[in-house]
Amino acid sequence: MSVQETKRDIPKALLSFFASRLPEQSSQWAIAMLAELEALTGTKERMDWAISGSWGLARIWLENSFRTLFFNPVKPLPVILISAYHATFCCVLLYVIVSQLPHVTSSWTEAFFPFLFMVFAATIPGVIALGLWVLDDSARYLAMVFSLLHGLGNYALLSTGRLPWTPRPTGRIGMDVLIIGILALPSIRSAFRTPPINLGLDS
Amino acid sequence: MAVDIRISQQTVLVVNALLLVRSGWRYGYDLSRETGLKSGTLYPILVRLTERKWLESRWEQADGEGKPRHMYRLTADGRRAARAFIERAGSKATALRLGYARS
Repeated sequence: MSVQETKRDIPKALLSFFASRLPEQSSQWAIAMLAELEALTGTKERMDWAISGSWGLARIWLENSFRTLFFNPVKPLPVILISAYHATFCCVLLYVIVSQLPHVTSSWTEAFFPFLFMVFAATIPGVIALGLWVLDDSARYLAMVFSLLHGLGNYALLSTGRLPWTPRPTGRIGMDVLIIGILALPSIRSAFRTPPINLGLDS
Repeated sequence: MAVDIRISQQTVLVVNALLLVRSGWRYGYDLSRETGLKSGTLYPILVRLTERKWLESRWEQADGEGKPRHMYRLTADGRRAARAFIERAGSKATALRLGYARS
């Protein structure tokens, strides 16, 4: 059995990995690259072909994602608004963290990791916003979980008397419930399963 | 057909290689060897050319034992657009350096 036919065919495995990341219609280009790889015999030229091809497929994937990000015509308005809400939330959290920096009294060796953790936590809504913007279904789930946790957290603070029953925290809970409800709607769910952009080979 | 492909040296090389064969189909690897471009550079260019209908493609059985390979050639419109592209890309010096024949 030749090297190409074994499961340890590294060039083929590498190229196949990146090929699997492409949407179905674009993946035909990856199949074309894999077919050429099959025709090559030299170890070095096969590896060169696979490494460079992987980079090329990554570029095609990036171009696809870029188009989806900015030119997707089927993005529902509620998703745009929820995405903007999360992006704003992220910016506000980051602003609050940065504005507190001058008031840090402990040494930086102590404050660094808590600061890093807070920045990481603050970027979560930003990641959700980006995911919603590109209609990533996992971002939809993450947004619902995030809203659920956020709403429960606020409710816990209200019910234990650590927050007064004022319009702001109750409004935030209402917003969380609304986000979960909207993102669970069948029409919104279906928008997160858009067909891939056609980059097919058939001319 | 509008010439709306960004002129890069790599694209000129690929278009030039496709133009040099009047009616033949080309394998991706052959194009790669002829142009000196690696697959990661070549295929995104082929994607763009195909999107603009300059290229047509088909699968071909290489031989009795070989697996099918994908082949490319310029369409009639693509050939005209490619000539315009080369002219636009090129100064005569560039075209000569790349070995482009007008015939």
